[in-house]
Amino acid sequence: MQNTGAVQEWSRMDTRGPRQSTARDKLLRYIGSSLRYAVLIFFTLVCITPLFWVIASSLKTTGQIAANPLGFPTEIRWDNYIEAWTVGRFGKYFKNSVIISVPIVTFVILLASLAGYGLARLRFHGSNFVFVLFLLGLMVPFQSIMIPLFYILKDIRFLGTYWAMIVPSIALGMPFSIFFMRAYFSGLPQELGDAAEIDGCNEFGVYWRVMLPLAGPAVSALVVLQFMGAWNAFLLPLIYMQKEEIRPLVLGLMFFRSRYTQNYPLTMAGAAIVMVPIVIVYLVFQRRFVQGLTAGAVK
Amino acid sequence: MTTAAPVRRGQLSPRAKRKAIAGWIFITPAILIYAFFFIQPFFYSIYYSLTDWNGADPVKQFVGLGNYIKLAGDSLLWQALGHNLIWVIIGTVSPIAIGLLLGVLIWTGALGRVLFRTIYFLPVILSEVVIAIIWNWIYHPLFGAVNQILRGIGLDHLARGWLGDPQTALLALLMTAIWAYYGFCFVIIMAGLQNVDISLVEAATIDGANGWQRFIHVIVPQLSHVLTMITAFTLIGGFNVFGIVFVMTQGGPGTATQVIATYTYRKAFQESQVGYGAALSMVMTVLSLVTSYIFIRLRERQEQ
Amino acid sequence: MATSLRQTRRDFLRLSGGLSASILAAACVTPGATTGTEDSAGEPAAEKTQILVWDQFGEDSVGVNEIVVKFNESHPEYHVTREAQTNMRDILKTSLDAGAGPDVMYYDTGPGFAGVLARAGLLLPLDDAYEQYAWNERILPIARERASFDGVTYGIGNELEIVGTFYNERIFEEQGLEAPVTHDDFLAVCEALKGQDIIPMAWGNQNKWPAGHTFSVFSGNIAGKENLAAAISGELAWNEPDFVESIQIPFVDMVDAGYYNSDINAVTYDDSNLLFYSGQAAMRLTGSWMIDGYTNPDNITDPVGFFFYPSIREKVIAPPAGLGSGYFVGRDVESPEGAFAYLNFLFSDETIGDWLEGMAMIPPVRLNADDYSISDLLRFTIIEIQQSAESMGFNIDVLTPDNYNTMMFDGFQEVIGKVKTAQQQADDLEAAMQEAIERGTVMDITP
Repeated sequence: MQNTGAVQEWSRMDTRGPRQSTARDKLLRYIGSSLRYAVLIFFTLVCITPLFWVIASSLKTTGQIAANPLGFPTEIRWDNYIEAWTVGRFGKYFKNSVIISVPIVTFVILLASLAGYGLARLRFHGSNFVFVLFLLGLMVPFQSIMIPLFYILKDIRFLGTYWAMIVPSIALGMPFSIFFMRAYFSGLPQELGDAAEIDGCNEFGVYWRVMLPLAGPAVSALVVLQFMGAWNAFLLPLIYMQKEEIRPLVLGLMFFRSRYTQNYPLTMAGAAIVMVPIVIVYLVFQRRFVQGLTAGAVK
Repeated sequence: MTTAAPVRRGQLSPRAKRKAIAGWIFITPAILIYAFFFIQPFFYSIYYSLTDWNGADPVKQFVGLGNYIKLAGDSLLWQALGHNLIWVIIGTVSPIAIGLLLGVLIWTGALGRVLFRTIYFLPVILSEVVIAIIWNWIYHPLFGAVNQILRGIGLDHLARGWLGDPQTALLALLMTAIWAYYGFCFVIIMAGLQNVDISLVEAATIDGANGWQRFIHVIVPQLSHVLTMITAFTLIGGFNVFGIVFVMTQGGPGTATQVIATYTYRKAFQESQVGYGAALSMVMTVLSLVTSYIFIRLRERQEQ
Repeated sequence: MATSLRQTRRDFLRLSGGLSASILAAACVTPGATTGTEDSAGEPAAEKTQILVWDQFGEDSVGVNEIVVKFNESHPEYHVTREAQTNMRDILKTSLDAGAGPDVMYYDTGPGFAGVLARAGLLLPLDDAYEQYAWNERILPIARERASFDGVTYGIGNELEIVGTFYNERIFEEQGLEAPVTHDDFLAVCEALKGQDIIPMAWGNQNKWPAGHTFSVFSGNIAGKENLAAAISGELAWNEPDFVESIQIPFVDMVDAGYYNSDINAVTYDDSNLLFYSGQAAMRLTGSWMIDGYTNPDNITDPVGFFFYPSIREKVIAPPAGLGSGYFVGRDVESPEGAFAYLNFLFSDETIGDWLEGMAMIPPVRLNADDYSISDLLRFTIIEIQQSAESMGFNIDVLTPDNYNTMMFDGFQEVIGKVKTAQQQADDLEAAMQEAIERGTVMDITP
């Protein structure tokens, strides 16, 4: 961020070129700047037009869709939302998604920060091996374990319950989260922990009272990442969460769509019901979202 | 390594010993759940892939490498892998290129960077199912925006059933994936650009390098770190792509968009060929492991 | 932060060499430990025995809801809950596997669908129930035969149906057209409609299975009933010229001639019905299960007529007839008696009217069409099925194994998409059939 000034300086130099007349200079700068914004705005439109179109379609009648698929609705039909909400049972699915996501996020954070702290600050015999074991998990896709996991979950009677998604998701979240928390704890100054230890804290006390609060930024990034992962998960609930009563929102939407294949406004209303709340939360907390979801790739 | 007292065999100080015990306690819950729900099924996957099993029989018939031999001659697998290959190439290059373009345009001085970032990143937060429904609608042969626009501007002959035509279906899916992903690349590249040394760029300008040359020879090398990471990310994602394909085309028309993940799902969970499905999943495992390994190596080299 | 991460990656590389042995050790972690939580699917408070039914009718399908209500009233010891499932083919197998499936399910008959479940041991044999409830006297033999695999009966087939051509009578009248008597007439009708910018036939094959019905129509009419039965039973090659032609005519020639809407593979089955409802298209080649939709004034106000796809080169026609789906009982059913009682109730005298009048579906029992207030189309269908059953052909996909169906569904899309020729597809179908013969999954339907 501190570079911004210099960057603008540089960009001005960019268009100036060696010893040109000022008129041409201005023209070039004007064209360059217009082009720049043209491209930026083009991709802005690419991003949001489909979303607006979904909303527009969701407010039409089937007749309007056929007559004028592209344009704005001539009369706004909110009934689609009411109908989608009732027949789609989105209220129930929403509740299911919360029931599933909250424990996943809580336990991933708790277990991963404990383990990450242990691996970062409490060097012990075998810790490297354990760490590598977790690292390997980073490279193994879910598909590698999805088939036997189905039969394991069946054997322990988890299938058909919320546990079928919660517990495997916690396990799947371990590798990256531990990796991430360990890195963060390793970067914190050692002296803080030592000081607390001298003040009489035991290891857990140091972790809980001193280090974890210091790791706030890392934790909040992880919360966003894990929450979005759990909220948007598709393949995992598709395989393990087939009972209608425990379906999460995303899966409910998929089944909803295939039930009303002819009624496009209703389908779009369903999509909007699933999409809009998360978009609003995103717009409010967008910095946290961006940091969280890119946490894995930035460093 | 750097933070703890050196551990020497046999002569742990009481403090080190206490720390070691605490360390194991701290890590045990994570290990238990990870071992039971991750490592265990992973090895079962390997075992299943050596059996012929329909998922219900009490007996899993051991067939050794039989499934893998069958894999080698399975034209559908090769076709699916071909689609994955197209997917990783186009699906990696395009969003990164777009992300780079947008990143550099904003970095070199545009107003409203937060606004742009907010919007570009928006599709990243949506679930695959929502994305698939949106784009199914956009590609709808009768009412879809793409065909409506084409017909509206007199290009009727270009309008087609994008997802139903074997020539265009895979590309249409890829467009969707790119739409959903370029904002992610953009944000990461922006973060990388914060660390680019501006003085080098200035020096290049004084040396008479034009914009393109500065971009290729000065900016991109300094971003190589970030670009490697994001390429690895995208590649692995591309080998494992499932949701968008499954919801939008189920691998069709015919097998024109079948990828290895949808094929695996079909074999294991729809056609009861659990052993064969497990062997297919091992193909995905190997692809991911190899890709990860290559990129870790690359990264190592960059750091030296 | 960045430094420490790099550090860890180097650690990782250094360590990964000696790792494989230790991983193997880790593999031994609790492979068979399957204790743990108790079953969380707790018992409902009511003392009634719960029966969960999955079917593929609409959520608010009047007829079947009525049947459920009646059953629950007349059988106080049981309580049936029905759930309308739309992705049954995607989830049924895994659900049953998981023990999270239904007690009773309504699913496609045939070795490619219910047969897969039966072979995986997921269905309950019903031979004893047939005895107990004397279903043999009541249910048509075909409904039992089609739901039997390897000599064991697992279900009751339902929904007697035929496949043929529905047409918009208003359009035909306005254009001075008549229901064609020969294939050449049919082509002439298509040509005339096309000339008037009316889509001759609406067809959406995004869902893949509609092409299977089209193929059933043409192979019945070209190869004839006996040959088709022989091919389905694996006794006649699918790449015989008659079958190649049955692919060539509807999926290549008529596509090239422009007798369907464009983008066949991208249009869904439901959307193709929309084209027909809106009068943009004049004909639909599909099954009698659509009668309910085609006689519903909310969908279409024009009168809809029906004819069997006409004779090709003066051959005897063999229009597809058969059973759409059937009721099956899951292996893990809580109360087999309850499930049997429900099955028995489904096809009793009390419910025939619900099937016919409420859903325009023909249950697999002997009945008199005149006793019910039903549309002419449905009455025609019932009479056809009752009178010409002997000469009717087959719906191929409910009789053939799953790998054959996969080849059929994927391959026809490819033929339509010009990725494959008719001959190649016929060869692939034959190869799939050979593979199925080897695996022993073929159903013998020859007399």
